[in-house]
Amino acid sequence: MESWFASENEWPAEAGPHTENEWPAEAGPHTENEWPAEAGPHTENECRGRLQPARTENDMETLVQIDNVRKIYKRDEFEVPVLNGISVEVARGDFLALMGPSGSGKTTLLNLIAGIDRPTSGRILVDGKEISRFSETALASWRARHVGFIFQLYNLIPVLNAFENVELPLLLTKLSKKQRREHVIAALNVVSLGDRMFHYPRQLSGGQEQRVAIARAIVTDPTLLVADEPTGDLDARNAEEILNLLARLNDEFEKTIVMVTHDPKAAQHAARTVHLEKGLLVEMGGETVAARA
Amino acid sequence: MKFSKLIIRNLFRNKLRAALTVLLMAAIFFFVATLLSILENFTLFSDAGRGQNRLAVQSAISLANVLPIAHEGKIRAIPGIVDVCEMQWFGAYYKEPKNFFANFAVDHKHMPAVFDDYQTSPADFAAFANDRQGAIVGPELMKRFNWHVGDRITLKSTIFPFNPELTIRAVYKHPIDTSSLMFHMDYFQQAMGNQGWVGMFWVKVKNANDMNAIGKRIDDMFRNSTDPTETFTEKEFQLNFLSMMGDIKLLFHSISLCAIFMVILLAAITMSMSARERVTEIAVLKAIGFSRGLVLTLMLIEFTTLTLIGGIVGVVAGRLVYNVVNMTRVTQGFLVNFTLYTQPMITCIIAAFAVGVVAGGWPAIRSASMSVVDGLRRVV
Repeated sequence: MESWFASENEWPAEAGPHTENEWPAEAGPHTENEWPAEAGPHTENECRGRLQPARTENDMETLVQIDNVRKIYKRDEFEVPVLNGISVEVARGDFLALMGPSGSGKTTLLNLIAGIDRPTSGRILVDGKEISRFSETALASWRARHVGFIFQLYNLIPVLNAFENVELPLLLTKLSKKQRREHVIAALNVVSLGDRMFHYPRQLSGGQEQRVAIARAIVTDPTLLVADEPTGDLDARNAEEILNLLARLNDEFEKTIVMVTHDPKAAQHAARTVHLEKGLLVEMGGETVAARA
Repeated sequence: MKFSKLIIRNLFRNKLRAALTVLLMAAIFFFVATLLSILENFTLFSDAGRGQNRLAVQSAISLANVLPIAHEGKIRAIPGIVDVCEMQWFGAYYKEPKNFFANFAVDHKHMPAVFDDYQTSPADFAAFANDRQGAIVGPELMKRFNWHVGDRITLKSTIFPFNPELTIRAVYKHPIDTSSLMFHMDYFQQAMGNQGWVGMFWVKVKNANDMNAIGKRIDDMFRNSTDPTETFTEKEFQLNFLSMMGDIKLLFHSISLCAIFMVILLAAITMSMSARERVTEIAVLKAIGFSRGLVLTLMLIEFTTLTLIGGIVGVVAGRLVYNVVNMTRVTQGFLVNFTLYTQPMITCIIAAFAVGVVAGGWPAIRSASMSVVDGLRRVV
């Protein structure tokens, strides 16, 4: 699988602007206008034009396997069933949209896939590992290595600047300070925010904040990206940019993405759509790539 | 530490709250360190006679009761005793009640042998000894009242019905007691009509190892008399003397504990607010892989750092204040050579750390234990 990180040794020295003033011209796209044609799809139209044909489940290995999963929440004396025996598979490199009305269980399913919640029954296998059996500590460690999170409200740490926010997941690794810096800069370049790395969340627009959040999600080069309504708090233009960015991560870097949305336009950027209603899978959506293309 | 930036930024995310918390901690630990240092000061004072092999013999009933002077000869006959000196707490002030200080009538003939840690030149001591109304005074007291050798002063007693008129004949040197005044026992006894009573005896013992045995022998000697005695080492006596004002140690420790308890509650409120504001952020940290233990550790480090800063600011500021302000003068001799001592400072810094752990423990545990899903769902 392609990664936006060259191996540590291959990392070009010039890629690492340490301060805003030090930013070298050769370090890559710095502003929207500087983005080179060879750097990949950048605008929505370019992205659509470059989309590969949909990968089929037959030619892709299964990354996530949800097997008859039930989830019941206990609220005081009440038991609230949220997922009622869901089975679904997500292939490696897939871009799956989970759709459905509020309360249909799509966020719960996403949380289970991401390992931040546990099913009441059933199995969840990610990359062959049954994560629903992991201890809490093991699950945290697994998330650090394998999952990148993108939230609706960005959820950046307000006291840290963009660079430091993106660096957070790397603090859990054994990378040196220099290596961390290189990874952060690479991730920020992927989301075209290399020139905003020392800005605090309050100094960024909503779209920029979400792009920083995406950089934070991809900085560890995770196996799986999970996005919960990533465009829910953005205007149409910014939403489109974020969706294009996700599509690019999927197309160009072959990131497996599971995205919750109730916006059909957003779902069109995904390769596949799954509809949930009242905790049940009502429709295994066909390939939406055709629609995207 | 790679998490230091996160800790420091969180520490000062609400600058006003952090500053007020530090100030609160500083004020409380300044206060507690002062109380503990006062006790330390008393203890140092009670240690003034350390190594002097002195025993204090007082009435078994209380220090306020007197003993017959006739006891002195019997005590002196006990083997192992170097000398015995009569002493009477006089309890007088100079001119106004606010000018209260320690003053005693002493038997000047036996004073040099028993109180050989009080240094003065032989000529000065002779001048004191040869004047029945002479007084020997500590240097701090001389400075406080701007006295000079040769000055005539009148003390006003709060206990006895006479006001001695004294001439300052000598200034003594002593490592700790710098604010006392001593005058002749003969003068006191004559003024009181030679009734044959005295407040207490100080006994100088030849060998430190014999002190307990000699003390017991003295008490045994008078146990069945009409005036039984109770004998203490000098340190025990000084602490007993202080306890006449109530159990100061217990009182000060109780006040200190109350102050620390209050500061724990206040810090807990502040830290709970701080943790509550960050429920979602903590959930995000946990989602991206921060373990419960790591979140707990980071929060505890943050909280204890805040209280530690407060504690250190409080005791360091206190040390500076007391080094500048002459507390002997301010307290009119109640506290001699007072400062914040190292031991109370260390105690306060440890207490500040403990306050951080205790006050921050519950909010940190609660935050770290909250499920990621609940944390992300929470609207703060």
